Amino acid sequence: MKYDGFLSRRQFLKGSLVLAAGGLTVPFPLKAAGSSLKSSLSVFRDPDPFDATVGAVRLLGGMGIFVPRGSRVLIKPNIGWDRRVEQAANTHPEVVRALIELCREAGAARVQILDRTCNDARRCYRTSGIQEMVEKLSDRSVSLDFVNENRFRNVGIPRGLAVREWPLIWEAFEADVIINVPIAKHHSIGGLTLGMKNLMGIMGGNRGKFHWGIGQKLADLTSAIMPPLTVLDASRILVRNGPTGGRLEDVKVLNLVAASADPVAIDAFGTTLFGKVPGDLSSVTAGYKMGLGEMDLSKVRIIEG
Amino acid sequence: MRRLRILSQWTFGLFFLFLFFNTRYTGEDVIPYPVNAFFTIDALAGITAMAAGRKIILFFWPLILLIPFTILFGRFFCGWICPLGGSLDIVGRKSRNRSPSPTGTFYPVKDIALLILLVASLFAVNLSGLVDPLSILIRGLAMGVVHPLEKSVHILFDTAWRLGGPVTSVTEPAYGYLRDHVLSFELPVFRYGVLFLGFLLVLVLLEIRERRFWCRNLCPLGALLGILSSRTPFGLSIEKSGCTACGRCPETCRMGAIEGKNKQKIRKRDCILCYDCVESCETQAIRHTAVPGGTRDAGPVLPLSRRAFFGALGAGVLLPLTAGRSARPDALPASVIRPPGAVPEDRFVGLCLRCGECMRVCLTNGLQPTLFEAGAEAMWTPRLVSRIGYCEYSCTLCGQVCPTGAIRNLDKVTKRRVHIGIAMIMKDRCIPFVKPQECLVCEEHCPTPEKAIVFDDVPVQGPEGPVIIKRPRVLPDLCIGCGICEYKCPVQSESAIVIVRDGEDREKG
Repeated sequence: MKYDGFLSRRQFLKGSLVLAAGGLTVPFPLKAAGSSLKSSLSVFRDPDPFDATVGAVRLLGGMGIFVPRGSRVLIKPNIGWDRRVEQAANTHPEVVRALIELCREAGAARVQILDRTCNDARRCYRTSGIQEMVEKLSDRSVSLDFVNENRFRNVGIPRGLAVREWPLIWEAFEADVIINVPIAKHHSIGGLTLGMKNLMGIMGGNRGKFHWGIGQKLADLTSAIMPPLTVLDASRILVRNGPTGGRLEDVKVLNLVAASADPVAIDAFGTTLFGKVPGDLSSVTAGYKMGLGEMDLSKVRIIEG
Repeated sequence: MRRLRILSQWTFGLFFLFLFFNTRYTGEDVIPYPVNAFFTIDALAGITAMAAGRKIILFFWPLILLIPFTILFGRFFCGWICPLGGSLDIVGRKSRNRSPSPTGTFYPVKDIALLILLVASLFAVNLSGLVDPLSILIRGLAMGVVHPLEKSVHILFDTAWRLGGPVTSVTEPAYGYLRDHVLSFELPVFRYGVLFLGFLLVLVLLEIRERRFWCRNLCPLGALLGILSSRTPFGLSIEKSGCTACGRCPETCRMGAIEGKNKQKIRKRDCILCYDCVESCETQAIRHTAVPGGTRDAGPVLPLSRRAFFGALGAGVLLPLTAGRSARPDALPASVIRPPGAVPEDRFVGLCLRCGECMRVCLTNGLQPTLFEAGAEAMWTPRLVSRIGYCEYSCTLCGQVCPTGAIRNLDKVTKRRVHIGIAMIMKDRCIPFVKPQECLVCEEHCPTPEKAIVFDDVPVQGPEGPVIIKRPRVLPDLCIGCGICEYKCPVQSESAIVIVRDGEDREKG
């Protein structure tokens, strides 16, 4: 596997920022990972979410192939809710910590963690345990930041069928690598919230409207961002009353973390954790039709550990 | 003593600002500072709230020290402690008008206002917060000053950021520091903010006319403390034998409390013990006298004409009787959502000081001042406007900062169960009701562990034939009225799901 597109993307974006400042829309250059590479997906089972995450990334070939030395990494966990770790509404802090460690090992220059939360961001960061985890690292190259609501930039979605452009947080343009770290949860209309839905956390604008016909829109958004790595936290999943949760009886412990470079394949795999099939999730189907990745799990190389 | 007084004013002023600044969420569920501490010695707020709220409020216990000390020594609160008085002194220093006008036209206003407030509070109507100096200052700062101040900072740094280039290497770290440590987490916006700012500005501008114009003529807390200290045995007075009638002290007095050309004397009800006159007196004739006889010629306790006195009494009685809602307690509009833990409405309006602490501390900026929405007598009381900000499920800050218990201080577990209203779906606007389109945003954000919004499968006519879509429905027993659904509803302008007051829990406080 070769992932040599990142740096050039960053350079391209930096050049485009001049245009963006003038109010123009910046397209992310497309990198159709799913279509040109045979999809691989790793699954690692371990009661310790940290070890499970390290295991899943190692099975894929290690963080080095996603994070070039000296690069700036944006980790996007789900920190959307003012809920505690055991309530399974946010990504497990240990999963995030594992990714930070792996990025540092790979020689990342800077790791930034953020989410545009649904509840009060300060409460979310704190209650989720992620703030405490980052503070304990006390590493100046690792930061947990709040989204500045005044600093969104439009991204063009040239292949979008339902959405042609949308504002994103500016940090997404500055990063060399975006690592998407969703937690697998029940979600009423979408059925589930997995990787593609988690990308909404770097969106600006009126995200509520985005929910009207959300499947295709999520696929469009994914086509613009194409996160090189998605790590699905299924150490514990929320099976009812998602995505907010709050009842421990709605939480199911799976002790599992999955990872893939294919944003469609990982969501397709995620559906199976809830006893569903990939076709049940409209975003998976839409993403597959756009050629963003593979939804037929029999065609995905699943590496278990 | 004068220096000590100035030091005291600065100390209390800065302490006030420190508490004001820390009236915010800092990552702890419980605010670590007693941010409402100044109100414990606000005699006007304490007396009217207890009278109107019909209960002893232990929060005000320091008044049992302040009141005797005021009777003994005078209005030291006004001269040494009051942060509004101190602020006015800063601007008033520059006031050119030095001519003392001890008892001007406006002089009786504060006593009339005090009488009205006291009488009205006996009828369970508490309007003291509208004119209480601490409430004015907190409200003015929180709702009038913070927004324009911080907005200009944001604009400055955002402009620098847009320009880009080397400037941002300086501005961005500075901005980051300000955002982390100084500025509000999100820029607060308040309805009627310009009124609060304007009120403060008027008080400042009145300093041009007279130093401490507000304190001399208008402040009802000053009037109350003045009445208490009008017979003070230990106040400052001028020794006749030493006085040369040089005329310096009346000119120095910021309160216009020294009268008479030849036989000068200090009106104790107006003296705030600033010690400027003591400093100015060349013969050291002004000192504390411990003789009760010194108060023999102190004048009336309440310097009002009989007409003004009975007029004020009458107004105090009439006000509660004519104010709209006391006549019809059930007439509170459905849209006026009180904060979680608010006591029943009549008691709430009686206890609320309109100080704005709850609105300042509200995480989401959802608590907003009412103008006439809840009745004229409830002006500037807090109300949750969910379209501006919702009630955060696990947040209990407003109850923590409320001085009088108008909003009870609930623990997190209790608060999550308090119904402050109920969500109603507006079926003429809600997307799945007006078109064959699903929308889930209200249900998605609903914070109750078992969702208070559920979906019904409904067959409708789609563009390509019949389809089944999900339509939201509110479960009244589970909905607590937090308003996050109204806040997040993607329908533009008016939300398609709104919180109404029905079903609110207003336990006795």
